[in-house]
Amino acid sequence: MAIESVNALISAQKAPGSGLQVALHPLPILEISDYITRSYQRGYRGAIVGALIGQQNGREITIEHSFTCKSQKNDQGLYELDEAWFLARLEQVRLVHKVPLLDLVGWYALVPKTGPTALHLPIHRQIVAQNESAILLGFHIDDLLKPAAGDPLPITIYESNMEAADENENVVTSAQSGEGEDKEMKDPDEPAAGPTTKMVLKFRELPYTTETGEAEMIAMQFIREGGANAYTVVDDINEKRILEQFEKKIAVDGDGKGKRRAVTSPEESSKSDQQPAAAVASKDANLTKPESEYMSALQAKFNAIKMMKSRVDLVVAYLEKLPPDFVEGQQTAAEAAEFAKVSDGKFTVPSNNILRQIQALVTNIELATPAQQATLEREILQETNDVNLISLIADLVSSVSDVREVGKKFAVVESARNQKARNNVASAQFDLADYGGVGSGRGAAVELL
Amino acid sequence: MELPPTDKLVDAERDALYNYPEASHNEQTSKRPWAKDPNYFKSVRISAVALIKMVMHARSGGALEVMGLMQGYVSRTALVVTDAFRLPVEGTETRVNAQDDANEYLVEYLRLCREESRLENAVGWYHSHPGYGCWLSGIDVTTQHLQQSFSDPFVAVVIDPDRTVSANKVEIGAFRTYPEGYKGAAPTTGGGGVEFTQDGYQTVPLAKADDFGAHSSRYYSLEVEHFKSTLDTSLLELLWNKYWVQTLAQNPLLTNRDYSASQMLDLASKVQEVVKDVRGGRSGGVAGAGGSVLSGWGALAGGAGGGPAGKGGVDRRLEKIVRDVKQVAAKERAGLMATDVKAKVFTCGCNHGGGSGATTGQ
Repeated sequence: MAIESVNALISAQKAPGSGLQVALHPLPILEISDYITRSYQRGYRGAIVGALIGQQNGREITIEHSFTCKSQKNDQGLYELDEAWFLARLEQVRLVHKVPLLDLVGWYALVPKTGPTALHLPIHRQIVAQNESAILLGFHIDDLLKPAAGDPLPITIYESNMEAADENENVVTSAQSGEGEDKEMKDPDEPAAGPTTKMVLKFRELPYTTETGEAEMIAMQFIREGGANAYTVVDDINEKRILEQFEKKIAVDGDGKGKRRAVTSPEESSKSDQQPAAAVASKDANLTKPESEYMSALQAKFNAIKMMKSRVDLVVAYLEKLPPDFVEGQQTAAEAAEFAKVSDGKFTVPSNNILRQIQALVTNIELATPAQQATLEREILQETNDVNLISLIADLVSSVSDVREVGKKFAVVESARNQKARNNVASAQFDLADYGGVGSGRGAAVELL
Repeated sequence: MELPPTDKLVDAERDALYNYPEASHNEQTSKRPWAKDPNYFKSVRISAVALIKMVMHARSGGALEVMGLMQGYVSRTALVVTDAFRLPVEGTETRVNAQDDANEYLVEYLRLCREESRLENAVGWYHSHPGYGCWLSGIDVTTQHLQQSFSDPFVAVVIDPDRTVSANKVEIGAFRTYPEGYKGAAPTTGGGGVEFTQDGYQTVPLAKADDFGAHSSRYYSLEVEHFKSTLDTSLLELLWNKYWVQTLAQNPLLTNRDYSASQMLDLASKVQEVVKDVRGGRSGGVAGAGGSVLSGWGALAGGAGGGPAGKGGVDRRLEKIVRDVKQVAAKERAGLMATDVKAKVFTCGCNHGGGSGATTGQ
């Protein structure tokens, strides 16, 4: 698909949008990721397409779930949903999402950064047939290939609208082939538009927020923090090892002796119990599980602080680049805005609104310092002590365990030595007995017993 | 709309689990090594998507039990769960059971999956136990036993959404039943499956060991692990950028205070149990070494000399206690680190904050 510098399908209207508010849950994002990974791994060649389901309450849309869709190429070489398949699956999904009631709210696909193209139109029309205000979630896979620092999610959400076609001509001067094609396709679909004002489908970007349910958040954290990275290493080792065992087992099976197999299996199971832990440890430079969890917690903090710094930097940069005359109060905001516009990006356009917000923020910073500093410090000290105490207990317990180990070894050594000593004593006694008579020898033997 | 041909997004080795090894799965399904060894399966590996779907489903059910199925394949002694879907079943507060229409639903669902070339079969079912922990009830055991008889390999996963929320960590367990009349699993004899019977990574609190079920001898639990792809990892990283405010603002020490206190309490009682056992074991043994200030610890350490034979149970329990206590300590340290970071970033900068506030005020 050709990427045009000006995308013909993106609405050029400056008028305010429909005001739809989209709340995106993380599950669909992960499902797309799952779909992509799976497709690569299994060598699947085809469109990455899926339906989004969620709630629609007036102007608010939530995207909570999703399911992958079967698509195929039609005669024109464009992807289309398998209609019967799609309706059957949609019916199934509706059936199990009754409380809270979720329904089709849109669909997702891989979309270039510049916006949807003609290739997306056939499926979009199929989805719109189910829900008139369906949205399109575009996943920009190119963004992931060329990652930049402080990236937002590689996702844009579009709504679609019918707009008068004459505006379209103003924007697009050169007729593009893809453009012509979809006009052709659109006409039969829109008989209501009438012959005079031609209406075309236009996409418009929608702002979205991410939202996470309570349980969802916990599950996400669980996934994020868990030592799931060491995974395939374990798998590799396991596979190799188990493969060997499997072969061994087959060999044993070949012998046709059930008894011997019964002997090997407990051995196998005990081995495979120990192996994963060892493999995990070997992966991340001998980090234990608690340590790697601590690392990921640190990483999360680091990212958060980096993010905060970039936000603060943005504010600082904005303030620094304000036109000097405006800062000194010799210009009004409107004049400064004019000045900034012609300055070729050297100065920022002042906005009283933004400035007021910054002012509010700066005033609030003082609230970050608590009124009762001493109380807070005491509280922190208390917590620190608690944590240190727990660390001490952990150390103590592991020392106890070590001591026990030492004790056991000591007992083994000691009993061996005692045994030896007694044997020596016994032989000495017997020597004595030889000299001193049978009676005393017996006494020694009794003593020993 | 198609995927760009690249190998940057997916690591063939690290994301190996996302492949569907049809040949090896079929081979193992035809060999059925699990039919001979009741403890054959050791772990369940659940994909990120499947896990989130199950947790959310369990949560959406509220106080009612919900149920669904998991798709996946066999990978040696692990069952890999790649996806999960809900079943249209109305549960009650204590039981959930699949009916005929649910069966129709799942047959249709899997047919549609195969049509979009997702070949995984059902490898298990999940249901929720809102508020009463992860174990199998009598009905669950019967259901699971039935499934294992007719559509093995099959695993039962139980999720407790209420405890998940209250403990701030996913409460999940995976179980398989033993065949009728199997008696190989007395929990005190050492050996393979038993390590994971009572706990894998998650510990069954002592107080709840009793309600682990009257049928606990009829099933064993598998280790539950989850996996995510490299793409998941980078997307989660990006997503987490959106939560930077929460990440900085949260105070895990405070939110988890109750939970960690209860964990410490539980550990204490476990230590006491072990101490009691050690003391009982050495009543006829060597005297002395018990007179330390921390008599409990002294006995524990001193008891080592007592009876090394026949004390394997104590050692193993002690080992577990050590592992748990280290886990708790690591969590606490991470929590403290969060507070420290917050204090360093915000409180130390208070002079600056005040200063700039004053200058802007003018």
